[in-house]
Amino acid sequence: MIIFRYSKLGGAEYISHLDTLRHIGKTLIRAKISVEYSQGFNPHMQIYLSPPVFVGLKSRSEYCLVETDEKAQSFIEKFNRYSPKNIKCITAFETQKKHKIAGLIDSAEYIFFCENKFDTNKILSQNEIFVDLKGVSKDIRNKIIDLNFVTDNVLIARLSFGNDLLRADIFAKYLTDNFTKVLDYEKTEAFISGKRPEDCLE
Amino acid sequence: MVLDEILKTVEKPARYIGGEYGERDLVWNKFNCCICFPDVYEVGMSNLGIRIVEESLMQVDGVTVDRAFTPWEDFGNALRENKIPLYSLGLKKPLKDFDMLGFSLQFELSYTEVLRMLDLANIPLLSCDRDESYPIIQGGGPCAFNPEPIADFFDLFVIGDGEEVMQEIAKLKLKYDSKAEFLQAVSTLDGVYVPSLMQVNYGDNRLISGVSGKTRVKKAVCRDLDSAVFPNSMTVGNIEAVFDRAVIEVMRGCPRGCRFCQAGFLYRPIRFRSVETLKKQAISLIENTGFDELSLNSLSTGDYPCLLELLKELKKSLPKTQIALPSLRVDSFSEEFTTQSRKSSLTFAPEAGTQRLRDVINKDVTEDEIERCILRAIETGITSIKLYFMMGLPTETDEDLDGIVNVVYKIRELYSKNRKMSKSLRISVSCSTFIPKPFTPFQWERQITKDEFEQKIARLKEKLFVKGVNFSWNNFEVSELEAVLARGDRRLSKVILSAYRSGAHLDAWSEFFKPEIWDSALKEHGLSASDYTREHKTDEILAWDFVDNIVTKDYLLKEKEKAYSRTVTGSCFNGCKGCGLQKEYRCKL
Repeated sequence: MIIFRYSKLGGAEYISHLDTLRHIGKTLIRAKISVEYSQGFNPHMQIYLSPPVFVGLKSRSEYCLVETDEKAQSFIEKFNRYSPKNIKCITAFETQKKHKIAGLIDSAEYIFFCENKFDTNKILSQNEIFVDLKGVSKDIRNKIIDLNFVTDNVLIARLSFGNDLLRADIFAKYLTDNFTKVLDYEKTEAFISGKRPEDCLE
Repeated sequence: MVLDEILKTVEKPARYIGGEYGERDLVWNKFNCCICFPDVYEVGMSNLGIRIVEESLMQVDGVTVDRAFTPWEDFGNALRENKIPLYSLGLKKPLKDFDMLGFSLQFELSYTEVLRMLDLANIPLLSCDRDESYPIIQGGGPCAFNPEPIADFFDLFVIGDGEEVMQEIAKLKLKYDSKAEFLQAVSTLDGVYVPSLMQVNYGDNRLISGVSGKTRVKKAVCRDLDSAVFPNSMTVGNIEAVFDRAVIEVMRGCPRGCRFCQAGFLYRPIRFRSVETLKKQAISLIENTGFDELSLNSLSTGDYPCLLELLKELKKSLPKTQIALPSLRVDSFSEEFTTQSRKSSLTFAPEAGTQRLRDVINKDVTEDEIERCILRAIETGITSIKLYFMMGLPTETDEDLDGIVNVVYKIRELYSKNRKMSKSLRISVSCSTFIPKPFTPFQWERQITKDEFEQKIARLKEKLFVKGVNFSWNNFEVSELEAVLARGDRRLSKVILSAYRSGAHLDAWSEFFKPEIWDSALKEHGLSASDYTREHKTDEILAWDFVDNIVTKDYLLKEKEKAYSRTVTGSCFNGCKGCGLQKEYRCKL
């Protein structure tokens, strides 16, 4: 089995989760990478994606598990030769276990390009932060794990992901409404208990 | 950046970003054409015609071909509000910058979308308002056979097979800078109609009294389908297309000649591709796209003479690919075709409920054949059957409607006696209103009125309200408008423009269709739907008479007479029926 990490940039961020799955399936067929199929009435490829991201979120840290005997290096080469130009494999590793990556990933790191720097302690020191989510006021404080400006305009934020998700667009709106205008953002890492999947899954 | 903000707020933004797998690397060229599809991305991406034309144009030196689809309401409004002109998907160039926009006209109800696309591209809608700085607006596809209702918006139409004539048009566009010279030059080609070169006169009785100028346009015919241009790859849509699969065209034309079917007459003569060519095209398409399904398209794939050989070859070369056989006739439904399919449903179209009416429409299928087909289907484990019928056909009586009900009851009976599955049978019956279409033997017939429609539906509804049967029907106003636009004349351009200005758009989508807009647009110009849905006299000048479909009017009249005398003409396979094409083409049957 292979777990690979891929990016959705340059327009591909607008391709939905289900369509991304469809494109990965077609890429594997075109690349002639042999993949296991389910044994049911309508056999389908055994491929599993990391938790869905919302349409429009640029990402460099999506993951996918594929039931195949292909070796990691040749997988990367073949995949990238046949994948849509904006869905690209960044790294891949072999694994013996069918990890349920969709359920394991619990936090994600994002870059927020901001107009101005502000003191992130103003957020981190709060006990609760209520924002409006479709008419319901919800506390998002526990979903904000870490914030750190690396330059005057670039904020690295670690936010809760998976079952306890804080969407990046909601956080961007919170920043814009309260601290500084967010010009753009993208997802850069995904973590399982603080570690990247490629560093912790065997 | 603004576009990015818009994309984040609209439904299915992947419709508008391009960059699909298999997209060509485009560069701005000497002649730049954008193929425009007046329906949404996922519908257009399933269309084979535009891909054939695109491939054919790309083979001409100095030509670049891009694509554009109609935007959904949300994206269209956002473009307008932000003053972003509609752009092509590949090069992201405003449509206005192209030398030519080629619209694919598949369905009459897409006409307002042509206007919406031009409007969103800041291009004047009427051809007389466009000077040399605007692209040439061209239309093609089945609706171009009667282009008169939209004549005022287009500079030229391609009538017939597009793959060869489009190349000639591109070459002439490279030669002539002046629009007038170019239009004059292309008008000499078979299959090209330039509306500005023909004038239509109307008599006191509001009927067409005559035409002047260039008054005859013969359809373009691609003589050798086997060697004709066909794309060996295709772009894989960013979002799932309505038919998300690879497609090959096994034959063009249909030997059956059902008297209501426009495509059956428009796509004559019958031409086949060889098994060898089709196999090559199929392998290349599957390898280049990664689709797991291949559709063998044509108007009647069961009539392709080498179907079994082709299926055998495809199974050998593409063992993992599911083969889809759309448009299978009841009498060609055989076990060989179905045993390899895992499908649990069967769709077929008896079209009429009684043998008498099937004879009238020349749907050469007998009660026995329907029964045998259903039995075979039940034996292969099918648990869901979808039936298509038409109502309002010429000579139809209540007995014929009851015939539809009888077919359904018969199927239920057959299933209960022969069922292989424990699952109960689901039958879905879909009934559409007959639309008299140009170039068919029924082109002179009237369409039923709303009162008749309601009576017929009530009768069927009452008898088809049975467990396990789902009965559905088309909206009458949609069918009526389709009939008006299909048989319309040039006066309808003003009506279409008024309807568009009053808010008609995306008419093919029920949530947007507003019949009242069309009613008032017709009234505004002193017309009514019945001007077009009425019975036409056989000696009347019809709006589309200037188009030479090669099938003669005499033949259509004879077929009309045979319909009324309940005489079946049968398939071209049983001998040439002398429709007119035999004078110029030998159908290789």
